[in-house]
Amino acid sequence: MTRFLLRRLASVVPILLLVFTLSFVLMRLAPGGPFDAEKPVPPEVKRNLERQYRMREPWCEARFLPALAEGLSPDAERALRAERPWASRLERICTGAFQYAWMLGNYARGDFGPSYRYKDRSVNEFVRAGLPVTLQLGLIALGFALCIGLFAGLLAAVHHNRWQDHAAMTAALLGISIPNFVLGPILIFVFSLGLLWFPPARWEDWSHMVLPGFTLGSVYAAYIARLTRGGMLEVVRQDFVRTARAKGLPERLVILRHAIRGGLLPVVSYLGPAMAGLFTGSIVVERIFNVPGMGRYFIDAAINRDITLAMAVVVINAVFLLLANLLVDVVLGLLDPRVRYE
Amino acid sequence: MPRPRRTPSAPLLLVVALCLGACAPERSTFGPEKRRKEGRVFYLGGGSEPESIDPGKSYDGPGLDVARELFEGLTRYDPATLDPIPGLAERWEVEDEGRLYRFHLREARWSDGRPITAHDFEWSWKRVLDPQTAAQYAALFWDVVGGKAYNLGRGLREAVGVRALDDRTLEVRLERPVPWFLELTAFSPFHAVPRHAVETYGGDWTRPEHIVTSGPFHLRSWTPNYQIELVKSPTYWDRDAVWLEGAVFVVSDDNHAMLRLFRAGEIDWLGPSTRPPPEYLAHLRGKRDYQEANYLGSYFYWFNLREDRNAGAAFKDPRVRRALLLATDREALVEYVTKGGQRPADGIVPDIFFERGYPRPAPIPFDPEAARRLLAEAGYGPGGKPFPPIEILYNTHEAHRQVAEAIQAMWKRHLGIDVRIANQEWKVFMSNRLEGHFQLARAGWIGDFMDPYTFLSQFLSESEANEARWKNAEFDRLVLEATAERDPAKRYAMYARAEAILMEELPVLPIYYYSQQTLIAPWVEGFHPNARDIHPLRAIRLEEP
Amino acid sequence: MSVLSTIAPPVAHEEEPIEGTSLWRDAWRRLRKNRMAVVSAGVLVFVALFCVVGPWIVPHAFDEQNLAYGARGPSLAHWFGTDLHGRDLLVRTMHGGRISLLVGLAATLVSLTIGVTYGAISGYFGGRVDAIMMRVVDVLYTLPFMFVVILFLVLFGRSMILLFLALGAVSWLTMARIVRGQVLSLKQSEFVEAARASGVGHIGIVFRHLVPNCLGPIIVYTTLTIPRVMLEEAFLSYLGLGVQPPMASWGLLVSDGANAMTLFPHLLLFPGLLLTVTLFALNFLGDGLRDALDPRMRT
Repeated sequence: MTRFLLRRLASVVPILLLVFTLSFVLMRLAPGGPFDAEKPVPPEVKRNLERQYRMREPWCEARFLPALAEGLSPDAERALRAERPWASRLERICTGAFQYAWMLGNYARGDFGPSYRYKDRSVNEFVRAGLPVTLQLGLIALGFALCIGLFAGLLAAVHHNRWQDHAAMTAALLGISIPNFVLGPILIFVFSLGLLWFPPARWEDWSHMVLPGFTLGSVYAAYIARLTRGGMLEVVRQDFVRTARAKGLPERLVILRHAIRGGLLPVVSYLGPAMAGLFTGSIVVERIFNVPGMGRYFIDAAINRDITLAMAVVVINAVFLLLANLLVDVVLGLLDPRVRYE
Repeated sequence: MPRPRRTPSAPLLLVVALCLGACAPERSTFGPEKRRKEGRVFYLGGGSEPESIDPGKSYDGPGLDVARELFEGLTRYDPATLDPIPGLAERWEVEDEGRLYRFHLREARWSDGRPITAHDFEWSWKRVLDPQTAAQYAALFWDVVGGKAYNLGRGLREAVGVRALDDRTLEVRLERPVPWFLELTAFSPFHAVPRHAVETYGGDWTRPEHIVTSGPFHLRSWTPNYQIELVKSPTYWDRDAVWLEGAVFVVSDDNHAMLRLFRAGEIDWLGPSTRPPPEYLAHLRGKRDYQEANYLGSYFYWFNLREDRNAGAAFKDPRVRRALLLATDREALVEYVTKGGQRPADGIVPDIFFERGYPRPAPIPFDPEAARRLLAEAGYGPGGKPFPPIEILYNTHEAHRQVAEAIQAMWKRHLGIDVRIANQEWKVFMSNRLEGHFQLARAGWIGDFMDPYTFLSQFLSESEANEARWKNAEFDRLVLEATAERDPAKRYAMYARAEAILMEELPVLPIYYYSQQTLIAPWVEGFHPNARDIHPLRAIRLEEP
Repeated sequence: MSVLSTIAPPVAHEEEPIEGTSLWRDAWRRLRKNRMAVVSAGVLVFVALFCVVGPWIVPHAFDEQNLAYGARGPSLAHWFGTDLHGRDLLVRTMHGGRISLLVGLAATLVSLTIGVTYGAISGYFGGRVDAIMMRVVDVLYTLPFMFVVILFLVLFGRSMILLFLALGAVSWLTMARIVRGQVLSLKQSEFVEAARASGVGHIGIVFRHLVPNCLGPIIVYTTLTIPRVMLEEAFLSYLGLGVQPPMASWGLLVSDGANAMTLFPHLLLFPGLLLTVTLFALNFLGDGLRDALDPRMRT
């Protein structure tokens, strides 16, 4: 068990490095820079900004495009780069390598670096402020999903092929079929603007968490309900359950005491991928409900070419996915004697 | 195994939900009619997360809006007219034909109790100019003697013409007369920052726990991408005039979410950076809490006239540019496409200046007949060369696409020209515009101060913002000479002559003058619609419940 | 499904139609008995016809704007009403359906191609190859794939092809696992031995003999992938990364509709209903197919 954990944890590092590198390369390849604006900044100022944020590396310029060092106007620099495309390309790659090393060094120290857009903020600040909220939202959603999903799934399994089963499964399909960006506004519309039960947005006390939590959790509730039902029906047919039933135990007890352990295995193994979905879904839900989490930074950061912030979101997301999968494997092992830690 | 047999009755739920709202009775307001919140705290939309609230470094609307409440300049804006009125300076003298300003500071204190001195201003201005600060608004200081040289790394800090004569007197020397200088001193980059806090905490000095402020409000808390909470400053010199006890900027760039918050009464004002979604305008017009006003901005298309790009493009011929303009029905465009109270543009200087005495430019008619004649003169059209296809580039946004599509259709119908329209993500679009990879590109220019110079300066031959790379010596001369003229009427006349040249040569295709729309609750007093959508919170009052 | 090889004669020759086997006839019979699945299939055919043929019948173009006639409710001239720019919502819904179904099918096809090939190769060769290939899948499972897709679409612009590839690339992993499991259990069967003995190469065995015998699970999983991909497209559309106006997809129409719901409920109602009904039908059909094709699940 310990060896298994250690091995898995060790394999996390290269995967994270892969994620880091991939997102860095994508961000660097993208056209447009973080400091391009409609009202142009004086060229010297822009150059200084780019130096501060490692978008320009004096050593690389001196090595590949020495003419740049003379404080050229932007037009002249463009002309020079057009004239010597290869040198320009090499200079860019060289600068990129420096930037990569710089960011990697930062990460090694647990520092996500400075934000490229929010001038005097570090990405760590955004993570510190946003991550707990995103986690809280995710947990609430997961709680909703498990409560509703397990209940509906068990209900459907116990009343297999009766109206409870059909109703629960139809509701589950509906949950799967309504995207959260539609569900959110509808819920706000009905429960906030119409009935005035919950506030329409923001993140203060529990009343603010109900609608976003439900919106985010509904899809997973639906999947969990289906998986629970399927798992339970599968287990119910197996021998040990038949034995229990033959002993004259009431059906309800058979289900709850004997079948549930095996029947929930698919649900547990689903929770890993579900975590991934929760993170992705929070991009939408945080925006609709004005929740100060991390998810909503992601798209904006990518659009604004805020390299560090966008990468931090991706990497943190990857960390959580990896941990969630690990956790799921451990729990599966505890629940299912057939699974061995390899 | 059989599956559920019941047909889903669930869509019914949707129908019921939708009817709940759609069938609600008509109200005279979009939001609630009575305030649901209590107390003297004003809730407003803050737009997207500020890039920086450091007045020296702030560059984006949301950041400037917050910084303006936390700090005060030598002058400040009159809430109704935005004219500069005494702020931290109680009076000033202007000498040397507008080249020398001497400001006398009033007795005022930072929020930590220290006195605000002229030395603070001197240090703060030089900090903005310092190339290491990389402040994006530094170019506004270039008219200060030695400012440009220092900012570009070619001059000395000591040579910059701003000097504290004593604790309460600041002397500023300018390279040339700048008629709008007193307005600039009300603008955030010209505000003093607390040197002691900046030097102690570096970039972290704007955090609630470290910040030291000089304005009517102080920063209580700042939750990224959520809210910025201000409280009335107990040390502000004019604190008795401030009615509000506090203000909360609700940060969100989702205008639908903000609209819902307003509707639920959670915010009192949509805020300066959030506009109601365009599809709601028709519904909102006529509601008591909806306001529409002219805005200091122009919407236009650049023609790329750079010599090293688009060789052989038809629009490099001025007759073709005029023909394209004549075939653009801007009247119909604002009435049926933009629909937000915009006015068709006959120039680049917005119509807000007309009421201040700026001469109206000659109206440009919609005249497809004349347009076709001009095009024929240039050798295109029936019997002439085929018109090479042109491309309009715009940044991905529904509103810009509609304008581009409408213009595409107009030119096709009236001139028989094929126009391609292409959209790009903002950063890609901006990069291509700056690099000159476009034929026609959408642009919107928002003024920084109330002088036509803020619009005309982008066309100066030397300007980096001159994306057409259009050059006209006469235009340059007129604009630069006008800035030396202190009589507004004469200055405006010279600007107008320069603008006439611009409209003769047309490096741009003017389209419309901006308007602003907002939702503000009926219980808010002291809110005056104005040209730059600047609404100092110190003037705001909420009707007592 | 390891019983498959004993029940069904192996599909060894191309000329022997798959439908002829008793397994398929059996499945077909079971499927027909499942009323929900049959109704769903009917609904899907109807929706597909509606979307594909509809635009030719409705006398409006999907991008024909009538700005003075924006966002009206249903009327005789416009059965579904008009959208914010005065475009006929009926024809836009049809057009959006085309795009959504196309994205669903194309992306699923991409995932099918990658997943089946990858899974079959991994399962067939087994041993070290299998171990490495499956390890790669495990690793990919743990990547925040959707984030990378979003990053990709944000940074490099949006095109339909990119959308297909991106969505397909996200969803092939499960398919690969399923096919690998099937192939693993089938490759020791007599018909594979027979094929090998008669000199059929590796590629031939994998794609002529093994893959056709995995069709059951493949079909089931494919049917269930389509609605998932359609929802993912809707999600990307909401983020502004899907198809670009004036084109439309159901996802785009629905996300626009959700925003304008307060004033113009019809903008959400019609595309929303169609999307929901289609997703329902696909899921019901998928469930029905699973019941029909997976003998283990027979009750």
